[in-house]
Amino acid sequence: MTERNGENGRITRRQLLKAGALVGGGALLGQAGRLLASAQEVAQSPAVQYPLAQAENQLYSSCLMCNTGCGIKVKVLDGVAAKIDGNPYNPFNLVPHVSYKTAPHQVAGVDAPLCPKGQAGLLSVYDPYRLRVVLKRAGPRGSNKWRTIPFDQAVREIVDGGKLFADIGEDRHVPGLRELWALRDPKVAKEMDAFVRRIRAEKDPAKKQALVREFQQTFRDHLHTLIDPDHPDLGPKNNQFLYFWGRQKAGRTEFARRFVQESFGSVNFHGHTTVCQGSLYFACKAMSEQYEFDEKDGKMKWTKGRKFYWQADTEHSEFVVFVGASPFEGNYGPTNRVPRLTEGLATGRLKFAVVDPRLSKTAAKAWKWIPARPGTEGALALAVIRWILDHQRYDARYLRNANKAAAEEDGEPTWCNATWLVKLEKGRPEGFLRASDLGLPVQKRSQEVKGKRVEYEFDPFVVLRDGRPVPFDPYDEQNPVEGDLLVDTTLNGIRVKSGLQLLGEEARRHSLQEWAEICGVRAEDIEELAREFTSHGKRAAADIHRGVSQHTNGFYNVWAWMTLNVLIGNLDWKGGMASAKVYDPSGEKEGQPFNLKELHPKRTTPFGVSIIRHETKYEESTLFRGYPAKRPWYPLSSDVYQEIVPSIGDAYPYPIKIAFLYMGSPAYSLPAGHTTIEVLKDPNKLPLFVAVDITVGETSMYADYILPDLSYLERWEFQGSHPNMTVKVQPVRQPVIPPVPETVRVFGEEMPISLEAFLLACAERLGLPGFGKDGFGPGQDLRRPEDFYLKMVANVAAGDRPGDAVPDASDEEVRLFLQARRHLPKSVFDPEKWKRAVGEAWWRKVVYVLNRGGRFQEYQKAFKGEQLANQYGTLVSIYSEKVAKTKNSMTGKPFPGLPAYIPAPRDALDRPVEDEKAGYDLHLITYREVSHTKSRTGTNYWLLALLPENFVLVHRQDAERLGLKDGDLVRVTSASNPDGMWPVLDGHSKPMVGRVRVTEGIRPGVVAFSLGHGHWAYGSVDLVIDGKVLKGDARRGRGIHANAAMRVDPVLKNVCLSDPAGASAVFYDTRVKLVREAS
Amino acid sequence: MPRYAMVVDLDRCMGCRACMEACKVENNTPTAAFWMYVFRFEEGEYPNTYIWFMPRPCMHCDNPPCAKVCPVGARYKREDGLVATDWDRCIGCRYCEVACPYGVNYFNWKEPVRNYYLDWGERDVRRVTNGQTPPYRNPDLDRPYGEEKRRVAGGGRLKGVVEKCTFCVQRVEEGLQPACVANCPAFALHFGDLEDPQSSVSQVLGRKHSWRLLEELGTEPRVYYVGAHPAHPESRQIEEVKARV
Repeated sequence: MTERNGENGRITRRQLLKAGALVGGGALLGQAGRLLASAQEVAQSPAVQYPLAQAENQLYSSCLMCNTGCGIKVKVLDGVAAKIDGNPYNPFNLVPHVSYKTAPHQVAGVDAPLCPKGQAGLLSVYDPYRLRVVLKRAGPRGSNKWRTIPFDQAVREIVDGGKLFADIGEDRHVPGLRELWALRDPKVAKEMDAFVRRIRAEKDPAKKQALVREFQQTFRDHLHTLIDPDHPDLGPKNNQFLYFWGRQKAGRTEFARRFVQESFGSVNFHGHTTVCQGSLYFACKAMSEQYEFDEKDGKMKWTKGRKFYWQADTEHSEFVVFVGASPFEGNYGPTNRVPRLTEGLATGRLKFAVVDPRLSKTAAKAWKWIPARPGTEGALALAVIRWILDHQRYDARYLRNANKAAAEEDGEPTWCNATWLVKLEKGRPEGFLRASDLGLPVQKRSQEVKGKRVEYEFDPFVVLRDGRPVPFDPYDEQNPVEGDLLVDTTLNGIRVKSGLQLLGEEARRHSLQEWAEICGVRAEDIEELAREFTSHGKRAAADIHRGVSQHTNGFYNVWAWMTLNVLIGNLDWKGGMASAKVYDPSGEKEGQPFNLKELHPKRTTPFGVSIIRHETKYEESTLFRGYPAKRPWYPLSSDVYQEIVPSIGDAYPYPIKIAFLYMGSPAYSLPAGHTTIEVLKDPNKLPLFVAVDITVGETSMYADYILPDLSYLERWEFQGSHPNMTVKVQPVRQPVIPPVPETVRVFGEEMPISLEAFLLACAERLGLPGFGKDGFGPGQDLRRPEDFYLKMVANVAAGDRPGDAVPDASDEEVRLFLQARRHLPKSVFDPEKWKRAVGEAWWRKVVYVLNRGGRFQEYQKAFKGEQLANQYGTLVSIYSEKVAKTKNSMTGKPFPGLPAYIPAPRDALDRPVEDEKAGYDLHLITYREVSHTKSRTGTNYWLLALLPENFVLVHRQDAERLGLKDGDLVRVTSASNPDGMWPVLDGHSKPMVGRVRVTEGIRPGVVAFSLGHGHWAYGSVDLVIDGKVLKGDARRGRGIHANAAMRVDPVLKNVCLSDPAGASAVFYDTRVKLVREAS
Repeated sequence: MPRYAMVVDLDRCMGCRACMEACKVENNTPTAAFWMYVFRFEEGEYPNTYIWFMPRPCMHCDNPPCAKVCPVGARYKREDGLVATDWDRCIGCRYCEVACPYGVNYFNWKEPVRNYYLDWGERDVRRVTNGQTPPYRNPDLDRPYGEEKRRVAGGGRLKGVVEKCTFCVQRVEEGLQPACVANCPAFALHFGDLEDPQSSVSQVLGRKHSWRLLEELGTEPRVYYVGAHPAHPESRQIEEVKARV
């Protein structure tokens, strides 16, 4: 422990060397040590003349200029944030990070790194176009005419409904929340939910119909609460209230879920996953499914697949292939991944390859750049798999392990199903072979469920061992079972193959040369890549992201690449693939003080199919009428962002009447996002549209009401982690500056207008349970945001098991805590109320966590020997019978159960889309400039200073062919947007025009633009508010945003192309033309 | 007396320009002025294309051509190696700008404002900040620096003087790293005392071959580069940030 030096509590150089020891060993010590050393002069100077280096002027929080959410140290002067640097406690900023035990005074002079977006955050927060009061539209939707109204009026109108727009000539009744809060009895909801499960499980149509009639009889007094009594599986009218979001982190997620799902009872609570990397998440979910007993269904099934993914532990890798991922620009990269990679490059420990049609900043440092044709990522992976199988360069020892005991024998944290036998039905691989298929015994098991013993069966899986079938339990810890890797045989008259055998057959559909031709790369490059990938034991990794997943074949591309990691058995090993681990704020872990789900006096069960038809099979629904369905169903995915608004437009499977949009901009962010505008601006399709936003954005401009929100420097959240972070963390976002929006009174408490104030006020007016007096239970009120969030901080402080709690803050730390918040008004910081929210017992632990901007495991604890300490640690699937038995709702055809190459793009009916035949001969992709993040940074003046407008990247050969040169203006057009326009308003469109940058750094035939520019709202155009014009600033609208050129699905016509399995919104499969514009 | 220098490791720099942003935020520089600048270069033909990056602050030369031509002694070399501008003396003749072969000087065309990217005096902006004036108030730093007690950083900058990188003298004198160095996510920038064999600059220079920009001019820069190579005629500058208005 570091010694104190005098009364200021800072440390001397000698002590700093010891502090260096505190941050842990490893090759990177020098960097943290260097930063720590830089603090010592400050520590020694008697009168610090640089106020930003004083701990009393610093608050730790979490950035949100992009979703990496690095740690930040916000330096405050006179109540205003003056500068933002990185948080040295946080491993996202420093490798290794400063020991959690270090006192804040000791690191006051340590500024950890932060990327350009993070540093420029102040100008996003102090943006003159931020909203402080509620806006209600004063013209047709999207007219940019607004009037300011009192907060209480907005809440009254949104809750009560009525003829809310009569003053502007709209004589229609607008439903309020009260009207949709139809089913209010949690007991009835629970019973209906259970009954609907029975209806869904019934396969026979006549019996299904009979069950529906029985349902109607059973619940005859409650049928008026349903959307459609003939289709009880649509759920209650409550579902016609939708809450959706772009970027919502833990904390706000739990708070809003409490409102929408647990209290109001709507199933429609959807995030944006599929616009980012949906198929990455959902392919990894399929790979991580476990075969377990399911309490609700009372039987064993594939369940608990994690919506997550793996990334490389680049700190220890010797070789990484980045595919469609650029950690130097995005990819949850700067500032956490960059130092780990650059250190590896500088010391010679690491080399990496980059597969990307564009020569990215990451490719700039690559050993090999492979500019494969977009959409052929899966083909490339299968080519590498083929080479590995042909040359037997896989980790056979790992792959042979069929169960946990076998894995443990080899010291392996994970095992896979490469050897499990799969039955072929008419030549097609489907379910796994089971013991009962061979006449072997089935196990009787039982389990306690809510006091009752439930009997169920386990039918063992089977491998072949030396030609003999061996049944086994995947989770058996006593009896190790290994299987033969390559099996193609007949057992008991059943044709079976092993998973690895099936994978090999997929990989051998083409020769290496043919695969190379499909990908448009050299076969030698594939060979060298495969050889390198298999030359570093477990210290090699395939690290992939959007470029792999955002295709119509994304799910299978992802699966193929992730399977490569399985083939070398690198999961949970240093330098291999890592998964994220966080300190859980929910309170569901033993030893945590506040289980927020349980702390609810009247929690209800939302039920029914969602508006995006996620995690549910079309065939099980009462809407099933053969193929194709009216719109696709997504049984393997969730948070299908691109489906939300078009489904509202088509009222499928039912109409949505009220939508709340939080921190999202589907019109701007989605491929073909312009199609959402048609729906959002039509009050007949969506009667009430409320947005919570910090300004009038590209989507909130179509809202009926905009509630001003707090920026990331004014609010609470729990940022969580990312898979590349091997250290267990929970960064906490907390208010560090006075709130910008006006102060209002809710439940008798003063607070700034915000998402929380709005939901609390709606709950107050509705009388919704779970909020206000006794909101958590008798004597425990939920009147203020801090009542909720500080309990979550206390859970983080408690840790994930008894005895894992952080120390109490010292008197000195409590003093610093108060002093550093001296500028915050009582509406957001009232120490007495804060303390009351968690109680005396937890208060000092909460202070300890908040003084450091969250909770961070010690660096050394993240590793044990050659393995990562924070492990995935279970079965991983290269073959999935669950996927193989799931059908595409549009074609009725089952999905392949293993990695395969499916050419892209394809439409909703699985037909090829061939716009190149119509002369659209350039392939459009997007990329991230490191200084921008999709919709929210393109208006930040400091970031615009680095890149006032983006470019259209064109290869020199294409430029010469088209007669284009640097700086020329071109319009991007496509088969579904031949005019190249954003239809912003009736009679007003924004052309998709950008400046050409000619380069040798992109695959010929491919053109690219970076995301973040080309706004048509967000302060870039004039607004009329209360009859007065608020001038827009044209600087904020420069550059090009060509998402509207992305292909509209030719079948569905109001949504982009999508991956039918992984649900990704497709960014990278559109063919375009570039049309020269007059300069 | 320390002998300050900077080492730029081009093997590590990945061109993110965080240093440019850090400098801008720390020093509240005017629009289109970048006291730190990161060049991005492209070379070769597809598919044998290469891109690389080169940060370029003021070189803080030991033989500074800018100081030599300054008619009023405003531009001077400090004992610790920093090349500074005394804004009380600068008359804005811009000789230094012409004399400098590295192009790091910026003439201050306008009255200084607290932030150059927004008019913080404007009603709408004040509305957002509850009437206060973010972001960093350089007037805080308006004080004499060094043993010679001259105003070389902070709010003393006036319309009509020439400005450039100060190695963040306001931070360095407090024992902190310059903002660009502290903020570099790639740890590509090193700053410290050449007299101290333990300093990271000494360590890196001891380990790796180094070179300096336009060494042949005899300016003796205090900024050293390791890794890669200087730009040459085949290097095409890409993604240029227009640094002059």
